[in-house]
Amino acid sequence: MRKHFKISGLSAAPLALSLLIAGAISTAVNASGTEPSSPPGRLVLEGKEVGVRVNQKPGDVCLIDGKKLRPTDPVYLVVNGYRIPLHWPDCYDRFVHSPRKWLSHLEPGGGAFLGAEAGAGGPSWAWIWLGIYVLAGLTFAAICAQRSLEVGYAPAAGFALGFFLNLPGYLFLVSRQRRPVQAPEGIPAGLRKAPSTYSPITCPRCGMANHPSAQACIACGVKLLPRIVSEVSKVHSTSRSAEN
Amino acid sequence: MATLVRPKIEAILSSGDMLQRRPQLSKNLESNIPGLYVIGDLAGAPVIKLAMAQGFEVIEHIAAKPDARSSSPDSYDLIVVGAGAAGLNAALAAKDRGLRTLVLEKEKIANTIENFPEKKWVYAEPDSTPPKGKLWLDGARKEDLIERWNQIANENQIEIRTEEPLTSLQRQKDGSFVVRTGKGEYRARRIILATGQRGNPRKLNVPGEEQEAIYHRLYSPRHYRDENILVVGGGNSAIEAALVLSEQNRIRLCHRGEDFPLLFKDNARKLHEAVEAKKIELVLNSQVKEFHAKEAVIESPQNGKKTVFTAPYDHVFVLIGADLPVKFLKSLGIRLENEWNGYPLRAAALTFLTFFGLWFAGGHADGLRHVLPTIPTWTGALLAAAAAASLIATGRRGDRYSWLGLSFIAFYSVYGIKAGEGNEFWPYRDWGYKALSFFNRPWSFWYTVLYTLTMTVFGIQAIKRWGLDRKDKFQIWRYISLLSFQWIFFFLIPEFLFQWAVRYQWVGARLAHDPQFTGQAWRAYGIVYAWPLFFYTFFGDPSKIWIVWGVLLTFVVIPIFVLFHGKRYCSWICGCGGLAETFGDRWRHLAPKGRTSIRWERMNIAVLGLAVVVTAAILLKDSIAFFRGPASWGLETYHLMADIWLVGILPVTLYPFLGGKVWCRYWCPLAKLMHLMSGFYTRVGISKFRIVANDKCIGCTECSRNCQVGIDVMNYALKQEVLDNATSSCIGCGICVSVCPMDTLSFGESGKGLVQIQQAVATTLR
Repeated sequence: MRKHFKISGLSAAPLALSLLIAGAISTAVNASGTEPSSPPGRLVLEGKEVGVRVNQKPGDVCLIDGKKLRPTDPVYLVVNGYRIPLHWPDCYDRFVHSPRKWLSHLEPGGGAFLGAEAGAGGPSWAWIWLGIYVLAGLTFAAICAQRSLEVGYAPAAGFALGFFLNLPGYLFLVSRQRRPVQAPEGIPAGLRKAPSTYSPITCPRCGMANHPSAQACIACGVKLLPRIVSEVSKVHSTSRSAEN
Repeated sequence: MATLVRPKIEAILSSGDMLQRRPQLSKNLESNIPGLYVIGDLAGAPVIKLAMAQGFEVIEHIAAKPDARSSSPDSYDLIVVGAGAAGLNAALAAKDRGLRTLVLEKEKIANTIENFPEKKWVYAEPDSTPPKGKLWLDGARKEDLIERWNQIANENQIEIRTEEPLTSLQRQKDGSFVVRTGKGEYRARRIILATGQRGNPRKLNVPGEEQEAIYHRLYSPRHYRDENILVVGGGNSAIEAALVLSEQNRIRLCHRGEDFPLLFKDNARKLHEAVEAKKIELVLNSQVKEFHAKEAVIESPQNGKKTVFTAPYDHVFVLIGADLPVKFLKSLGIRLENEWNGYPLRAAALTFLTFFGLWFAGGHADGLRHVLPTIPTWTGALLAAAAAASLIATGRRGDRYSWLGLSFIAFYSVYGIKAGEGNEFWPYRDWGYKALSFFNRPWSFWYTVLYTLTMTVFGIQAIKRWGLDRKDKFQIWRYISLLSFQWIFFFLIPEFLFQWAVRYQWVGARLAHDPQFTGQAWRAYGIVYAWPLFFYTFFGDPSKIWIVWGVLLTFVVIPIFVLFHGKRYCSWICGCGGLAETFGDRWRHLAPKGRTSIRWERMNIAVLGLAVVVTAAILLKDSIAFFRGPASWGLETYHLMADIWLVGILPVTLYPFLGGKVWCRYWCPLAKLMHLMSGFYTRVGISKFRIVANDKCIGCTECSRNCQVGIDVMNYALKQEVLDNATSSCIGCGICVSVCPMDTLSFGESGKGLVQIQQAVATTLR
């Protein structure tokens, strides 16, 4: 039975074709001039077969009214693999009248994330290349941004470099030497701020919360063991040593 | 009826900013009044250094404008109101840029810091960010800091007028401003408000509160000795005041709650010790009703009954936080974030008129044309355009309901048309789908293109905001992951590569010739989307390979992923979550917060339950006749309710009002399934996902504000509690970790992050 689907011209999206099935049915019916007394056995589109009548299965319900089929009612297997059970002749007529509407019931058409007719329209090199370019751009942009962060360059520039130039952009960044991290204004180069914070030191005598670099409690004056060297004192000591 | 319903709806819609209200500002910190900027504490800067950065950046923005300088010699280029960290730094930057600047200060320079307790150490966090601008900032005692700032202001000859509060501010027709104070009148091209909100302490608003012995801030705790002191409040400032005062005085702490949910862990411990040592007497569930000359009237429950008693005092400290100076801002005409002003009925009527016009324009209003045969269809388009333009105009004048109406029109149209040709929602029935199917491709294709491009454009903006500007590799890679999944699995494969996989038999000859497989390209979405999010995994005549993969994905891959990463599927992989994280990112702070919104999350149990029941009915209908009717009804219902309204129309319409995660948080059945799994793993102790906090939280609310699923992260951080999926619906996006100015939060084992930080510091110091 599969050979029925090997029809030239069907390489286009199956769903688009399935939407035209109604046209085929309509054509077949109109061509005959009078409504056949029993359901047709084949579905034909422009002289080519696109679906066949198959046997009912237990539990088949009509696509149109949702009621159980009678033994004489047809079920069509159409090109996209769907089975279409229909009551003959009323529901068949309704199906023929608005085929797209009824076929769309078979597709998960509403989801925010679903392309209801995914694949309709067929492959396109332009879209594929755009997709590959964007994906490569995003990946290299992230790699370059990370590299920029590691070597001390502006990550936004690295991101743009990676996005537009891809591999050459990354190679350019790899070839750059690591930049020293720029010290904040007022602090001599080479001195860095502590990368993260420390908890305050609680004074063992009065319970006052002191800065982690405090050498004595600001409330009662008891000596404390600093957990971190204040960058201010580092600046001072560096200045002094420079003067010395 | 409307008067009953409207406040409730407004309460829901505006619950996102319940933690801290802020003025509505552009990204350049400009308010709804052109030329009027708001910076510092008022604009939500959580720490001094970031407030200073705002002051510097706003001047960069203003100085780059062609009309930065006033053409009139009598007019200043800029008036800065407030001489705090943000205002002073802005004035210094403006001076450097050659802008003629005046600073008006109602009290004295750095008044907020001046009001800190004496000798208090002022921190210069975050350490990883260098200070911007000329104003000096480093860890220092407050007295030293203020002295240094005064010195810098003098050295740079900044024109500051202290003790000169603003009395009125008016914008002139030419765009300039007239500022009046008690001492004079000034004109300026632009205004920067940097007043802070600490100068607006919250009050109890009870009789007698204005008496001299009742204070709203504590300045010199060591000046009080052997006195009866009443402290009112349950936050850290109240507790810290009570603790320091308790060393030399008798303290009674009056708190309206029955516990202290927002206390630092260290403060909670100290309070417990002080109460045990009888240094502090706690009066919980109590409210001060009135202050007499030497005693306060307090209402408190005793033995289940409310009783009123009097408490003697020498001094009272009411330390219950600070309020945004709403009246002051309103008097200037500044709009606040998420204000629901406007007329909902007018917005609804204009929305309906827009749809009505579209219906008429669609050429399907046959019945109406019988009545009005001479009216051409193009008048429908005109009516729709006029109604939509009216919505925009009223929206621009501050009617938020108009923006809601416009948002609904946009996304109802997108998803109502996508329901399928012939099945479009009114007013697009029988014409909408065809009208939007361009270049021989259906609307569903263009919808996917639109979705992917929207995610890409806004995703790159989000990468800049969270990754590049904050130098955060985690966020860079998270957004790259979201965009890559969207492009590969939700666009290129289902729309194109699936066709080639069949044509060139990449899937094998057998599958390539199986009409059940080749005809259902849309099932390629099921490569990544698991049931029940991908509801059609197990029915609709799937090829066997899809059933096998669907079972593996839902019941093996996802559970293993959740074990290690919690609900990160939502923030790293999912396309629905992806749109929320990118397009919805700018509104993330509007996500509803509080207990009510957490209760709403139970709705996704109902959606999950419906998905399970309908799936079961569909799978059983072939063998058990009873299920045929329910299966058919259930599928229709689920399709309409979940697939169209709950995934598409409602959540995206609500992005600008409730943040991006409406579907994911309240209705997504897969998110709920993963939540249940992750919660179970956490309870049995095998989950690897958690967020931990060290002891440095300053309660700035940035983490809670930016949580898109409305978790009050700060509440966990303050108490150093572990945040996981047993206690929250966290999706692991890590924005709370990124925005924390104190490096308080981190992913991973409890305490591990702190140890790493300490090792890093030790290495640096060596």
